[in-house]
Amino acid sequence: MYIPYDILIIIAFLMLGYGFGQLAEKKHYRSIRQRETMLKDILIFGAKSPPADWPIVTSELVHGNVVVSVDYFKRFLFSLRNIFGGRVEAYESLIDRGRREAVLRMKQHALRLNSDAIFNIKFETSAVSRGFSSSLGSVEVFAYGTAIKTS
Amino acid sequence: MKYQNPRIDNDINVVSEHPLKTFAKLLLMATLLALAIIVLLNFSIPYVVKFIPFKFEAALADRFGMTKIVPSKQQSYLQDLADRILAQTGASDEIRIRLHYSDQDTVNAYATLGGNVFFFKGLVEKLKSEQALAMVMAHEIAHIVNRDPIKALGRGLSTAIALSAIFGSSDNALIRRFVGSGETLTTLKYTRDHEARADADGYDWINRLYGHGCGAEELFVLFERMHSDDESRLTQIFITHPYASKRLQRIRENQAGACSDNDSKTNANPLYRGSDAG
Repeated sequence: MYIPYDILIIIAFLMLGYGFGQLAEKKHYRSIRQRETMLKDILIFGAKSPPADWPIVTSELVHGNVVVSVDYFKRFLFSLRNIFGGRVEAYESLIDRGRREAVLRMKQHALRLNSDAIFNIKFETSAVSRGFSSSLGSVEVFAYGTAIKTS
Repeated sequence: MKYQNPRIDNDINVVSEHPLKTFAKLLLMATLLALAIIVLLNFSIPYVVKFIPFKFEAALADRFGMTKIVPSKQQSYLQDLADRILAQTGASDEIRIRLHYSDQDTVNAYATLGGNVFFFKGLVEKLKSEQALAMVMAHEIAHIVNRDPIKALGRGLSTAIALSAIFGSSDNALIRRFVGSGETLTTLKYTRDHEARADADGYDWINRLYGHGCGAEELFVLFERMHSDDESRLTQIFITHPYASKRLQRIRENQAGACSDNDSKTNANPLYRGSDAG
């Protein structure tokens, strides 16, 4: 009997991608929410500088950097989505995780410096690796800002 | 003034629809689209093929790395037979048969792009009469004259194009499967219709060449015997062909009992080494 191995391999990859991808995402979100609660006291601001009446003791650059990989299932979903257009839900959650994780790591950095708040927060993103046929492999999110200590 | 950061809700940036549902929806749409493209391309192939010059087909075969003809006693005998049959077909002068003889025991012969026809020792040495050999030859030449190889390639390519356009970036395996690499030429698949027509055309030409169709049935007797002998020995090509018994029956109907005294009407195949040869 003829067995289409290549198709079976794709299906296996899709199933593995889905299984592990979903598992990793759920776990990551759990950890993100937990740490967001933990670090909620370090405030973050988009404003360039703190209000004039804040007594600033120190100010320092802090940053957080994360690289998240796309799983096979998401990539497949993305290539399908590419035909018809619309929201790429599969990648939205990926970028969301990347952004929040980068902020958390930046806050972690600030915590180590005993800072109270971070101002002038900026984000950078880039596609780190391109998989075959230049599909997105993984995405890097970099967050940085000025951490200040007020007391 | 007291500052605070709000808690980020989880469902602002993340869609709640289950990814599998999205996947199923998109996959269904893509599959329908692919099918539509494939059907459209496949329907247009027979019309498009008329505009592809045979020269182009031959050039394509060369680019795919078609091997050079190795001259031998067998090759020149078979080439001569091919040319005699081709003269009966009324095909345009453009079409040439390039006959290759292979010293392998495979019981097979096939026609591929650019008028290249391959004969294997395993088949050539099993056929007692020239007419049976001519039947194989005429069948393969019919594929060439009817432009079946380029149609088959077109079918494979159109499927590949549709699939790569749709599943493109992520699934090279799918494409490789339909375009193939060097194997493409030996694995061209002809449809049942093409095969049946090649049988009919081939038989016609044998009739014209010899003035009768006697001896042609030997080929299908051999296939039928191989079929009952050992299924696993069948090469792919026989599986895609119409059933040997049906082909045999059709030939017998065409001969209409005129071939009871076969031996006096057929010539011996000079390459025959016994039906169990190889």
